[in-house]
Amino acid sequence: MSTDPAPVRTLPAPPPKPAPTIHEAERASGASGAVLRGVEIDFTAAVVRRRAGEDVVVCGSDLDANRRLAYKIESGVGPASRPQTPHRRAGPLSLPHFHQVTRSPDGHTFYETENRKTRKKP
Amino acid sequence: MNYFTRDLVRRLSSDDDSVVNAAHREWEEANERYERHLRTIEPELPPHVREFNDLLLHDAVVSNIAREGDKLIMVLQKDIPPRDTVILTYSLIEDPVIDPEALPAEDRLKVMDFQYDEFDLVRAGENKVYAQGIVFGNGWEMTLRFTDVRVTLAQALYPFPGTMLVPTATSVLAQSA
Repeated sequence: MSTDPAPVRTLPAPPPKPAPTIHEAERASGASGAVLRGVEIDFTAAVVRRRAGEDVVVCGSDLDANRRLAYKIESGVGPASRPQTPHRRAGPLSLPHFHQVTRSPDGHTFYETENRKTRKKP
Repeated sequence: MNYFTRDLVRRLSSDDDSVVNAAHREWEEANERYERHLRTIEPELPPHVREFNDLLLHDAVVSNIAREGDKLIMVLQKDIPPRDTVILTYSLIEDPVIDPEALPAEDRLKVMDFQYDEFDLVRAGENKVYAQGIVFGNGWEMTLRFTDVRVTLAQALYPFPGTMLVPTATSVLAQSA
């Protein structure tokens, strides 16, 4: 009978989650509160778009990364709000977001979560 | 607030991702419990009150809150398209209760906007009485008890759609609070 210790097996590290992507965004009109995802843009274009009062959205499967990037974009415009969490009053398909503490310029930086996703702009 | 508690809101702003994520999950559970609650009382609500509960008011900027006798009138500019002007006229049964410090100071906005609310049906004898707690971005929580609420939706001519009247000094809000 062998006295060698049992070999220790290490589990392979989970593959890294893909980096979040930033997209132009629009809100659907009506009762859904859905966020429509447009073309992909880079960080600089996102800040420019936000400064113009338009919406952007951060998409991906890594909630922490999405939230951090959304906050960074919004903070590139000016002081950002705390995260605005979805509520019935925002519609069933709404996404969490940041906006400006002053609400000026208008608009939002949305981000996807595990269960709340954008809809592709038709 | 029974569902969207202050403690929960405070944790959503934590610097610790694990705390924020747990709070996000709790918030979603609170959303589900609140939806179930509303579905329970909905059969007892008249159609216009059900429609009031379906208004998408999150982020709507409040331009006026005024009193005339037992009426409380709130004028908001919706943020979610269509960006109508919304005029809510409540028939109060008691004075509104305002707590100006419902949100932590560091989480308050420079503008009063509608963040979230809780609605309930409260029986008072044989009459139906409604209760609503509303948290606004400037940190106020306003509690209303009323026998009716009427909704008027209108299209804004001024301020021009897509623009917003922003206070020039934050002290104005602080004083009114």
